[in-house]
Amino acid sequence: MKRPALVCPHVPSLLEQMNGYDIAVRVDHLPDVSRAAEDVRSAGGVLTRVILETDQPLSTVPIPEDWAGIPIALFAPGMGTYRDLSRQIQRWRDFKIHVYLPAGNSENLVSARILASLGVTCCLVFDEREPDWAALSDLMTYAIFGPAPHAPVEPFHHIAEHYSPGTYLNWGSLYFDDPKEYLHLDSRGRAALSRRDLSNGLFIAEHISSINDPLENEEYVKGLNAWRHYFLEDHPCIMCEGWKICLGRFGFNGSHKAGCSRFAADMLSEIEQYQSQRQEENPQEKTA
Amino acid sequence: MAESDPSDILSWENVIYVADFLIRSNDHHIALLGGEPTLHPQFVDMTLYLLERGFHVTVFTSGIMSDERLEQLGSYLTTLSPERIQFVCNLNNPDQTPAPKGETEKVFQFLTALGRWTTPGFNIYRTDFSLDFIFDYIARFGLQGQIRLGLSSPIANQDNLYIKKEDMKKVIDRLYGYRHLFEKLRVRPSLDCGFPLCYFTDEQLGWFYRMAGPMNFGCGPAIDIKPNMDVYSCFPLSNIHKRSLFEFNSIQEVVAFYLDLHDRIRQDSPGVFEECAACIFRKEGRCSGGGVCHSIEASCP
Repeated sequence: MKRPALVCPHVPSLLEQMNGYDIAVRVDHLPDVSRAAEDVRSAGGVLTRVILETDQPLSTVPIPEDWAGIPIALFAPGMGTYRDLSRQIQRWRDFKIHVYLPAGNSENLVSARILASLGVTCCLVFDEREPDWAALSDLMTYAIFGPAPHAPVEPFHHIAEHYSPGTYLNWGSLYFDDPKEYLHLDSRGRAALSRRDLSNGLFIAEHISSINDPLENEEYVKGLNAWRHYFLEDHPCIMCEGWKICLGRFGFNGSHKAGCSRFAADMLSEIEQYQSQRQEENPQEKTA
Repeated sequence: MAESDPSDILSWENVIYVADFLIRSNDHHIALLGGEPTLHPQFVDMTLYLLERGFHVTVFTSGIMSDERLEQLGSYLTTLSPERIQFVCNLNNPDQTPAPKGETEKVFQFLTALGRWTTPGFNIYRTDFSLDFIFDYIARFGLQGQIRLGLSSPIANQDNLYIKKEDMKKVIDRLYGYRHLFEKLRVRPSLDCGFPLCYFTDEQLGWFYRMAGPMNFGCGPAIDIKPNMDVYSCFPLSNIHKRSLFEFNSIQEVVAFYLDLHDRIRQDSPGVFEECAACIFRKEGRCSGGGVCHSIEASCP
């Protein structure tokens, strides 16, 4: 099993202990991005992402030249006006920036389509606000079947590429929320399975160095299959047609709504159509 | 892209669909028309978006807009080359078609701010038209040295003012009467569709060719797309044979559909004049015998 990457705060003394690890470093302020990337690299870590959450709309985020080449995950509340964003559109497109927008705001569904059509990778974040399922479905169709070249709109692109009819698909890694791919550290190096666990002080190790093989850690193994609690609770999600590609992630706050169920089922059907078309076009290719 | 009902507003989703559709069709020019396209709340954003997608954008405008919108145009679009974005400002003669003073001032403000990006347009709907004011505007506001001249056409199923076929010769002669001004100020006449070849003398044809290069006497589909994605052949045919863009896979398919429609209309009424039926220039494809809208008008007593 590949060792999970570590999501760390930008604390140089912590990063210095992470030599050889894949690191996603979290920063609080825009000007810290390039410094954090440099600190990870100079400490011998392999930088996978700089994660930044801002309350500014994208159109007001300045993108300095030194962000070039740095993989960035930028969580923002919205795009802002296109006319202002357009002044830096080339950098948004050419730099390695993945934009994360809340799906509960309908304007963001339009923004994601605008950005993707211009070559900017977008990822929708399913939070406490219920999305407009019809608009989301329309965007999902664009993401999967849009006839002109465009950047990925996540999670749709990832699901369409990786879904396999015989198994479940967990796409939490898009949000650094899958212990198979990411563990979360605090500034002291304590390890948690998710950001939520980190905030709640639920750690699986007092220091990451104590985990040699994660599979030997009982809490870690439990965390890998956390979605199984839906079965233990006899949650209505498990009866949903789209369960295999959702695992409760579209049902915001873990609740089950008819809207998300219909959406996930529609998506499953479109993905099956997409994969079958792709196989007809490339008979040598195997589905994921 | 056309818009006629103010409540019928173009969405971002449809802008992106149209952009994808045209790019897939290898067509990289788009014209925004209306109504008045600058009234759209996201006009500047959508125009910048289309430019970013690689389109050359032409905007047909009356030039009448709010101060705020004009300021947006000034700050966001005038940094671009006129090779990428162009306005066609449809102008009315202030003496023959008087407008309220406020409107004229608005047009002047627009021409002052965006003259370098603007080609004046003039729609001929009467035979005693005057172009002097346009030459004046070109000099005053530094407009592009070309006048786009449209012939007002009958709109199917609608009463409107237009140039009757028997008056076309008068229009051409009057236009030719401005040749000294065109030459002196080095302004190119640019003729829209609907002018029949046979109404020009050889001398007039020679002069137009010298001033503006080869002329097109054809009438083909100039596809209009409405905000709701209805398509039609061109503005004069906006009330008939509407289809949805979603029915087609490329702009070439749309054009082929409407070319076929034109052909069928022309079978009953080959051109504006009776002589069009036997005209060698029509048969050889060098003249369409006026606009197909005139043929429809002729076949509907």
